[in-house]
This record gives sequence, C-alpha cells and structure tokens, in this order.
Amino acid sequence: MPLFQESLTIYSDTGYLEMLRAWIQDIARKLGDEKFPQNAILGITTSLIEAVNNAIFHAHKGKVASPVIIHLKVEEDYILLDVVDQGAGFALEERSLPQDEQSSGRGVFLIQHFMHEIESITEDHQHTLRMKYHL
Amino acid sequence: MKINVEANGPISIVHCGGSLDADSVGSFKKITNGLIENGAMYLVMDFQHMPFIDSMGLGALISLQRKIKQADGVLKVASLCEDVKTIFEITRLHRLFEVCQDLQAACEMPEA
Repeated sequence: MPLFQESLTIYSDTGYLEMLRAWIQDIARKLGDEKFPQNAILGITTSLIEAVNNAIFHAHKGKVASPVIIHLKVEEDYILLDVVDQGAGFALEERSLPQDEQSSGRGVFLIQHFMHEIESITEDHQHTLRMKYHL
Repeated sequence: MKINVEANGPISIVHCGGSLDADSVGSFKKITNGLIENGAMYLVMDFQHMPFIDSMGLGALISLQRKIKQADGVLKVASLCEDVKTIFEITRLHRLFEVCQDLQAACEMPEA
C-alpha cells in the first residue's frame, strides 16, 4: 500500500501549471520532509510541468479539450509520477543539452536530469510518461 | 505573471512577479519585445519574485537575449532564487546570461 497517492485530470491548458506546482508543494508539506524530501520538490515539480507541457503542445497540439491525467504515488523509497495524454508518444533517447543559443529542446533534458527512471508507454490510444524518483 | 517595467535612466528594469512558464511566456515576450522595438538597449530582469522557470521560459529568455544582442544592447538577469539558479546551472545558461546577485549590481553601467 503506497504512503500516498492522488490523481488529477486537467484540460490541455497552461493555466493549470500554477495549480500543479501548488499541488506538489501541498503534498510535500502534508507528507513532511521524511516522506517527501525538500530536495525532491524542484525535480518533481519541474518534471511534472515539462511533461504536462509536452502533453499540451506536442501530444494534443494545444487542443484544450484533450485531457491530461496525472498520477502521483509516494512509496517508501520512491516517488512515481505518471502523465497520461492521448498522443502517440515519443522516443526517449538520451537528450543532450541543446546549444546555448537554441531556444528550444530543454524540456525532456530537464526530466532526464531530475528523474532516475523514465518510461514512455503507449497503449490503447494513450501515452504515459512514467517518471520515477528514487528517495 | 505580473510584469512591471521601471525606467532607471537608460536602463529598463523588468520586475517579474510569478513564474516564467508556458502560461506566462506570451505576455513576457510581448512586453520585452515591445521594449526592444521602442529602443531599449539595456534590460535588467528582476527575478527576485520569480519562484520557477520552465524550459519555455528559458527559451523566451534566450530569444530575448538574441534580439537585444542584434540591437547591440545588453541583457542582465538579477536576484535569482535558488531553484531558478539551479535550473540555469543544469542547463548551463548561467554561462550565456550575465547573472547578477542583485539589482544594484545589475544596474551598474560600464564606464564610457
């Protein structure tokens, strides 16, 4: 049985990003530093936001009505974050940092930096970006 | 994000209140591009009250840097919180931008 789990469904609207950051802060505060360390918050928050941005702009091409489903599970030794969209998914090869002056391409790089395991799962017309953070 | 622009002599200080992310980049770009179009040559981003930046926010800053360089202007960023500083360092953008400890340092103009 996980220590904590919660799911959210949002529209593909960047107006939800602030709420998602507050959601993570709130969970971390409720669980306390022992179960959700302070030093995990930036990584989890950044990865969530980048994954949701991917869903909104790339999977759903900005179609607001397309839902993005988020699952967060906190276990004794890891935090699992799933972001589910209705897109075709994408290849998860190791992303190198774009050239300094390049204005795009840092989103997946940031997820790969912070999260210890990442999986891209496509089935039944749904794509799940599964991200695991080892505690 | 709430954005206020303050004129300090030749310097335009852009005070950013809130996160620079996919939701706020539109208004950020509109305001900062407008400053450059109106001849601003010295921009200082006050990030004291900016708790978070995502990759789209970073992209907007990079585009801004490119535009102001094309106009032979200067862009500095000031007062980064620890989280934003970490993101800058992970993406190595602390090398691309002139990052100042505070506004006072950012507003020091080079001697003619």
